[in-house]
Amino acid sequence: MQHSVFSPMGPEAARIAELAWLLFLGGGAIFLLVMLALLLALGGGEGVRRRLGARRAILAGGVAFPVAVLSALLLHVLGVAAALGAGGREPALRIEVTGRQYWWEVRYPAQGITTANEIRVPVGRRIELLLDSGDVIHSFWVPALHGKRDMIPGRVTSLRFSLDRPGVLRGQCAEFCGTQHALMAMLVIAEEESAFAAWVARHKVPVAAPADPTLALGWQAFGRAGCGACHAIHGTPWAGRSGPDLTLLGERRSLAAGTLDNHQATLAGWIAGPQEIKPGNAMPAFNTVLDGKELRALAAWLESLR
Amino acid sequence: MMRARAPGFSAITGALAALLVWAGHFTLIYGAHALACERGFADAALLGLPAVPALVLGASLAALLAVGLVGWRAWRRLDGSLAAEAGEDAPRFLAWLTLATALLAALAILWEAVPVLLLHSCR
Repeated sequence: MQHSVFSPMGPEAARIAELAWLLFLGGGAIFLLVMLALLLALGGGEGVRRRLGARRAILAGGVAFPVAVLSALLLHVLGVAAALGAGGREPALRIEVTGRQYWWEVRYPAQGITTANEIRVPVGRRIELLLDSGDVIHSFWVPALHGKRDMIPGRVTSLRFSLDRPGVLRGQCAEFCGTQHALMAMLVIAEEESAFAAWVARHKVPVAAPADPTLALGWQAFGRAGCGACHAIHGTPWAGRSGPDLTLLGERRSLAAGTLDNHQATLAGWIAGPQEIKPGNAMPAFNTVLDGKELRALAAWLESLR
Repeated sequence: MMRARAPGFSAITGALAALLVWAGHFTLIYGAHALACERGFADAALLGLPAVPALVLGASLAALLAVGLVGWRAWRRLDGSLAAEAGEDAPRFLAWLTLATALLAALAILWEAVPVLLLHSCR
């Protein structure tokens, strides 16, 4: 899993990483030069010190050099910014991402898919993310993918990128958005075109009431506890929009926006006591609504959504 | 020993003039650019030119001309008339200061105007 600006996964992140190295190395070299001048000024011979203190040296080193370096840097940075901002080719896939306290809603309008906390993209295709917020200001940051982009209520910002090879990139909300800001992560999963198409196709299959008695009990518990008031599952009567869409939940790698690994046990624990795990998130506890058997069945059914 | 005459108000505004021009330029392009984007003039044209870059470039040229004039006058004072005031440091210092702030302001105006040539407006 990639989560570092120093291991870029796409051309945009690569340009940003190059710029960072240029600044680190260039800044380091200039720092060494200044320290050398300082040493010479303190301990050098009379002649060296006189030349260092001459008006010409001060104008060259103190005025002309910084002006030249900063001007060159400005032009270079603007060139990088122009290349990143223009975004090259027209995007082939648009994905809408809405930041919410404390998770990410992900929609594929052309495919008619809504999901959460995981952004699946095909490698090679030009992607545009359209970012906004449902509540406060968040910031979308996947370090190995691109720079940060703020998510602002009432305004759509965009981020264009492409990824050359399959991989899993971790991202994180980068603008303090409330008590659980630190537990607001997401994954960008880049996969081959065929795997992406298969995922889209799986998403379109309506979820039906299961035949297995345990799973069927889970399905009933979901309805009885009122989970569908906030959560949607494709093909079922449940279409709540205030919480994450749970279609294909069993395929997701993490639970509660990167808080827990996703499997039956963590699902049951999360449903029973989400406020213990992520205090202040919007989901109430269900440990008094569901008994142990129902809770296990519900977790088993949710895990089976794949 | 005669004390040097204190420089008048005009001498100080002279030294500040270039920086005031820069401040005005900064406020104008920052405000006008934001306003143009907010009001939907991002792609508007002015006499066939894209309006926002044209406005910024026009304001920058005007500001550079004004700063150039300030600097040129300071340069002339350093060169000529000050010879007659030998022995008095304040006018000479103020002329140097005016020239230096003019160079600084010109650089700042250039740096602020360059993005308009390289980046899209309103992005």
